[in-house]
Amino acid sequence: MPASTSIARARTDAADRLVAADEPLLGLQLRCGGDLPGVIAIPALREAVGKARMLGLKLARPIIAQDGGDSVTAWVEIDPRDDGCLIEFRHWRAKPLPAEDEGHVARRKLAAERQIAELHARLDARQNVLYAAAETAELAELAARMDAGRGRPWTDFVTIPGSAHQQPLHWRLLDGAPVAVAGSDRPWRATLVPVGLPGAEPAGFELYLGSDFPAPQQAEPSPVAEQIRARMIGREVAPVLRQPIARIIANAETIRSRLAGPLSEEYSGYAADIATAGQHLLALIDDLTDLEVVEADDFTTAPDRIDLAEVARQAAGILGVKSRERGIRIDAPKEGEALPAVAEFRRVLQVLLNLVGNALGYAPEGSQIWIRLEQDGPMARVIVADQGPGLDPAQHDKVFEKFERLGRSGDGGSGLGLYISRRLARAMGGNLTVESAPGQGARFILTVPAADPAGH
Amino acid sequence: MNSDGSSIKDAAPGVDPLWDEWACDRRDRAAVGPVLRHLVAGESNDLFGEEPVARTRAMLESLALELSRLESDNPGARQVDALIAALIDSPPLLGHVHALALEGQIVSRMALQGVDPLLPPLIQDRISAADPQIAALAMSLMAAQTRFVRRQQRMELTAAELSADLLHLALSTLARIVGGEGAGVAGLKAGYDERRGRIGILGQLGLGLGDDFPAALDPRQAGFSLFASALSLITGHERDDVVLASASGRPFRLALLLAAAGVEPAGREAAVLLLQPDALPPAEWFTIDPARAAALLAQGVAA
Repeated sequence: MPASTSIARARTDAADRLVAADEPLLGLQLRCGGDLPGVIAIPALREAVGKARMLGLKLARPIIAQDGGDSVTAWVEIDPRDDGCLIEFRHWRAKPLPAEDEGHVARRKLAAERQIAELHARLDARQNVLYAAAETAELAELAARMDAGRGRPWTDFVTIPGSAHQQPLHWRLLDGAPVAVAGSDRPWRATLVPVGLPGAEPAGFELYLGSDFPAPQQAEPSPVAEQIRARMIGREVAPVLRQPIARIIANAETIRSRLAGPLSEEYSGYAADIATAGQHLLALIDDLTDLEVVEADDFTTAPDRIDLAEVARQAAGILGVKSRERGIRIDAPKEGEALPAVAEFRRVLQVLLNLVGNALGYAPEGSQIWIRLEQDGPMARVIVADQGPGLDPAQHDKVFEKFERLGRSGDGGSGLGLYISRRLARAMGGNLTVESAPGQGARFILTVPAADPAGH
Repeated sequence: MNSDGSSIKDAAPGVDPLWDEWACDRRDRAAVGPVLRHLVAGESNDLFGEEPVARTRAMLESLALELSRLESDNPGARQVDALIAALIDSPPLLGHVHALALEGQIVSRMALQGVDPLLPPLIQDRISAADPQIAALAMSLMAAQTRFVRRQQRMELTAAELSADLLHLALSTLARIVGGEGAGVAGLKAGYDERRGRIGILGQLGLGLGDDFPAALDPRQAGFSLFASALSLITGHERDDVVLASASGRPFRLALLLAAAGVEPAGREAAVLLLQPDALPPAEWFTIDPARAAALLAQGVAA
């Protein structure tokens, strides 16, 4: 309750700095972290002084300030003058506001404990376990033991450092106690919440076990076969296969180009086929390695702020030779065009190379491939459109399936490209879709999050 | 799109009159549901009854006339009407004047229940205090309450009784309509002192009660006006909110405020029943834990 008044006078300058102050206002200013002279450190007073000066009106009103743990209600009268304000400050020491009382703080703490608790149990009035359940795998075993040992005190199942009591102590002594759990390296804390009418003997308790230390980062245990398979191609098979295949290709190229001496046209043709088949094998290994990566549970991309226009120009440049061979013009975004996005540069490039490469494969000679950019709200899009035969609607989803060739063979494709591309797009928070009709060409649309969601 | 082809998105608050019109329209439409519900449900007698609504309008008219006369001895009717409309369009001012109308209504109703509107027991006690400063403050409160009751009877409101924030709002509204600030306004501002207004006096007296403060949380002891100030001081909630809570036909918020102020359950019930004799509040409303009440009220502020 407000009690004991004393009047403090103070003065501020034209910039609302406190230049003179009596006790107890001076003490409050210093305890709030202010100086004399200095900026008013009591927020409510600073606001009132600023208002009086701005409005040019004499103010008289209560303000609430924090003085250490206490809430202080004070009456201030502020008389604005040309060169600052005169302040009269009547100081009352009030009881802490109800909103900040212990019950409130305790409730907030309890809400936090409940939130982080990894084990929850219900106890009877003598702290015997009635039921227990764990939220995490780490405490699952403890919860199972407690559940199996119903009717025994909860303290039988854990170790309370420094306590050798056979029977549980009074709950108030155990509330907040540190707890060690067999099979867990983390320190745990028990929270006991009495159940029943306040003031009466508790009819039972809720028990929460929580820890301030996060669980060790640990991948979900996967089946043994999965673990063996994981990254087998990328780590074991690909490096072993790559070298011999590269030699086959190199030697086949040598024969094809007759570097080692004259050879009949026929054999040169065979050598070219060997080289192409080798290239195909290498591409297949690359795709399988990628497939393994994108299918892994922990696959993530490293998004960065990138310019989709720049990626598109690079993709067009890389495939420039191939496109000129096929007599197809790639219409990439012009220099100076830009569309900022959040994605991983090399993954977007990989997707675009796949899309443009496919288009080069299907589009007729002399046709065009367009790479267009657009922003749709929070997403940025790259559209690769060709003048090829197009796809009928039934094929729209099928093309993204694993090993799907749509009946084609012998053209060097693994049937993995679009599948991988779509996985990559989705891992970056975007997608890869197609719009097409037979005879209309195909439009593959890669979306990734835009860097500037508001648009240009 | 509008007929001139510009979209409403191009309009900006304060710059484009179309925007302001649109904002008014949206606000009016948002209000239809709650207000209609109140009126149809028959809870209107309390907050939106004919009497408080008419008093609110009349007080704003008197304020508009007073302010207009600051700038001209014989202000034109159109200008006064424009100022009335603008003052009504200012939610803080409208809310405060409405709360004053409700306060006037409660004070006069309590007089019928035997609570002296001018000299409730606590003020009498203060007037006879040994400390001349306390006695003088209590006397000035009685004078201010007398003027308040009188003005309420005449449905008047004077600018000097507004808080500094609301006075500033009213004066800037005036300046917007007459296009500038004249000598009359400067004179009013120079003479203004928030401390001398009735609500200023109530605050000073409330905070100066010391050990007698709990008595101010009993409306029968303190009278409604001091009760409202004291409840506002101790809970930190706006005084106008306290008045609104006291006038509402469903006095749950009032019960919460009393609980948060630390009033004993019996005291809470007595206060609620005195202020809302027709309400039938369930007994649980009065046994709410103070911390829980404060938490509920704090949520209401955040929402």
